[in-house]
Amino acid sequence: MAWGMASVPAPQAQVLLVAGDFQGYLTPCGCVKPMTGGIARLGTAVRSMSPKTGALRVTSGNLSAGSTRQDELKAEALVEALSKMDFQAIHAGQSDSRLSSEIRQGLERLSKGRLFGPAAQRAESNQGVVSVRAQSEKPSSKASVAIFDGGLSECKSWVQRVGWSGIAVYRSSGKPPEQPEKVAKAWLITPGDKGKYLLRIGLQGGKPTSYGVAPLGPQYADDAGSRAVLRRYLTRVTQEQLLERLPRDASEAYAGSKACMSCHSEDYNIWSKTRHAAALETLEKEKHDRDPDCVGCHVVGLEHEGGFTSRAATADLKGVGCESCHGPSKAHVEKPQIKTPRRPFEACLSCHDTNHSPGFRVETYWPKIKHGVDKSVENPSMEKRQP
Amino acid sequence: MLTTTIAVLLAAQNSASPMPPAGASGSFCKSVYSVQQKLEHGDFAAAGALLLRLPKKTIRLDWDDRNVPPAKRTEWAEMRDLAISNWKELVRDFKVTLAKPGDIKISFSKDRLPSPDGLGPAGAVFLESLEAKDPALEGVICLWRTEQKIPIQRRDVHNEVGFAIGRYLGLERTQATPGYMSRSDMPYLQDFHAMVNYGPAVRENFEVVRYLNEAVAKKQKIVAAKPDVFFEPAKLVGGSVLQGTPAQMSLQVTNRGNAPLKIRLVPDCSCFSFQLPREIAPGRTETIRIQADSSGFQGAQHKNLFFYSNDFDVSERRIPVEFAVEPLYRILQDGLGEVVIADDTGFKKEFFFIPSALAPMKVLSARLVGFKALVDVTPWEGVRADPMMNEPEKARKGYRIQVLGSPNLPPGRVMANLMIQTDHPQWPEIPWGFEVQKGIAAFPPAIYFGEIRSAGEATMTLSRPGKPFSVTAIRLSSPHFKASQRPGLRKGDIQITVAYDGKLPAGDISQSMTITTDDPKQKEIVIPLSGVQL
Repeated sequence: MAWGMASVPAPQAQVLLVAGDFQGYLTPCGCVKPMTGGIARLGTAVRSMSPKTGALRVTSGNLSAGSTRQDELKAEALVEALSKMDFQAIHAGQSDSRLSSEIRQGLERLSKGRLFGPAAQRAESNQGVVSVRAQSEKPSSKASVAIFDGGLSECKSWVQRVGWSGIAVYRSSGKPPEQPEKVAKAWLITPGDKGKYLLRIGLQGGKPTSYGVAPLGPQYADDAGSRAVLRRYLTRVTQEQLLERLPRDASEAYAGSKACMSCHSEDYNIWSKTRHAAALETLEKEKHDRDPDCVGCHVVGLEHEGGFTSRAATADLKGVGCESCHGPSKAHVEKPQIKTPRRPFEACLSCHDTNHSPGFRVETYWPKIKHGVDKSVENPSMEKRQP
Repeated sequence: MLTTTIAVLLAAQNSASPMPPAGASGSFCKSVYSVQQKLEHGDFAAAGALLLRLPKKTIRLDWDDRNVPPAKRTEWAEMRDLAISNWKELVRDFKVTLAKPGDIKISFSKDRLPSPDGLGPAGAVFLESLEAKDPALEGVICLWRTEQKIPIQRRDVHNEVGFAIGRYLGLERTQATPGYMSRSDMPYLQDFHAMVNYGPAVRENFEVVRYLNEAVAKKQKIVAAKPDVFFEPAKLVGGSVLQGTPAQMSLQVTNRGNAPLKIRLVPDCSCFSFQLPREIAPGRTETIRIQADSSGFQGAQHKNLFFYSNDFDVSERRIPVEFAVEPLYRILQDGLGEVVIADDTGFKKEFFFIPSALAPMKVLSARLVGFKALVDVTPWEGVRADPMMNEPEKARKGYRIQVLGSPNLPPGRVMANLMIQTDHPQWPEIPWGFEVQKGIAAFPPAIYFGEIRSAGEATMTLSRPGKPFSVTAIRLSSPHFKASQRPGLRKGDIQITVAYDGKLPAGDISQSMTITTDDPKQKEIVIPLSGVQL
């Protein structure tokens, strides 16, 4: 698709590749397949879309979404992987400023001079890619690509205000538009969020000639170099015992799923054949079984004292067990008159959220695990069950 | 009186003569006035000579980098060019060539530069001159900053050259908005830009110069005109308001001169709102109503409005603003602002929520966001001081909020937000932040070199605020690593630098650094060193 013949100053590049706003997403969750994104697919996509020479690879937005130790490890892994993919300009955004100064120094070192943006030492990359935060900022004439810290409407107002003639990358969530938006002399593009898409813009003599959006789906095999970075990241997560160091709330005591079996044998048998029962094994296959980001939704009570700690120490709490939905129930086991503490359908959305389970509807998922003495519950509605 | 009237009348006849804008530097405005005075007296040659010292669109820059370390010369020259290109973007047809002698001269000093305010060493000094033998503007950049002699970086050079050009173009230094004109003597933390809002002021300055050049060329006499600003009060006092109610103030600005007065007000707080007149005619007084939103404040407030005018005697003035905010509530605690240091049993922290008698509110519940803890809210009556409000111990009534944190804290320092739910319709949830840390914390707790081909270096910091400690030894698991310690940037912190010689065999690096401290409860801190040797 040709999108105008006005010239973009500067880039000597024939192809501009833009990914970004990773927000700590190194890999698609894997809960539901196929999901999009992940640095391993990005590595392959970048290689296949880059010409032998003349490609400018740029990221936008934020590397991280928080300032925990896991956020720090993710940011290091991302910068290392993006450097290996030869992204010449890696943007460290406003959210990355929350990372400690020591970590940001480490990111500068790992990026080998490619880092730029508000959380980096430089606002402009060596390649003429500049980070813009304020409406009144006007980048230098050398810059050809502006990474704008704001949404589409703010970005439009900025390009008009400063008369920007080049490519401006704004922040958005969801799928990027199918065409870039031309505003005055500028082209406005976005790679969406969480590193799920790669944009490819063809340039000829400084003029944009083509535009494409690639969702990073399973059509891109995993890139070996990025997989190695991911492996090292997961090793560090395990070695630093981030799962063991998770803070835990005091709570009612857990009994474990087997304790439910003697009175609820039919329900136990149904549950034991569901994917809920094997949820930890699913994670073990993906090598994320010590990853605090994932384990909470694959075991019972990770956030509580007395909840899951490891397969060896708390075997009855592995998988999405009875108490994942019904709540800690040792008191109920000991005295059946005491009701279990939680309304089960309210628990679904804590894991089946839009990021990890985008197709989730209780009406279609409930039949997969349907159990319990109340056979009238054929078509449960979340709303009806709210207290 | 008659003389003033005639001067005002003559100035009125001369109304087409453009005046510098508010935001123009005092020295530029003064130079313009000097040219006008020469023209008034018919001394066109002297006026023309002075005009050569005022901003031009084609200029020469004398770059003297003899004192710059040779390894830095190329990089810093790039920073100079970046600043030049940023200004070229903003100023149409602006051309800068490197030549001697220059309209601007930039040099570097190894020696301490005196600060004009006498506080510490200057990062750079800038001198303006109307003498033909001198550059119109000379900047000297010190190769180090602060008493700690921190070597300057590329962004220091970039920002100072950016400031020098802006100063040459006749812009005033600003303390309010970040950009080239907000220069500082401290090490810069970011690259600045030529802000878009500099553009109109520069254009107006050029318009003034163009007009004066035409007058010289036509040998046209003009009356020297100057606004003479008087504003009062010199300090704004907004009285005392209840939190959430705006503080009201007013500023009276009088133009006692014979040229239109242009003013700008730049606040240091987004809480201010006001409207300014376009300009104030000679002899007129305008009252500017200023409001400050007090919602986010408690107690005595000390803020600033930066006043800019085209009167060269008052090109920039700071107007202190004071108002007091009667709090709707107070949250009291021991050790305000200190990091809570947890031990093997976790930590216990108490907060006291004291609603104002003027607008009573109830606490409904409280929870902690950041990590897990038990939070208990109970009605409370007792005696406590409020040091932040300078209030001694006295009887108070409200709620005690007790936070019990488990010892199972995440590593490092954790930010926690206490969220207090109330029955007040405008303040349904009040956040209160504090930090928690278990023992001596390492930032980061592990050093990662990534994929590395040759030697490399990384730094980390050990910290335990308020409880000083010493590092007595550092042991490394491999002779390929060396470590050294020095005081960190924050008081009591210790910074450790680890240097790797890049000579381990290819493959995974899995080494460690063991730091011995003088704390018997935390004798050793082990820092993993990892990466991949290519």
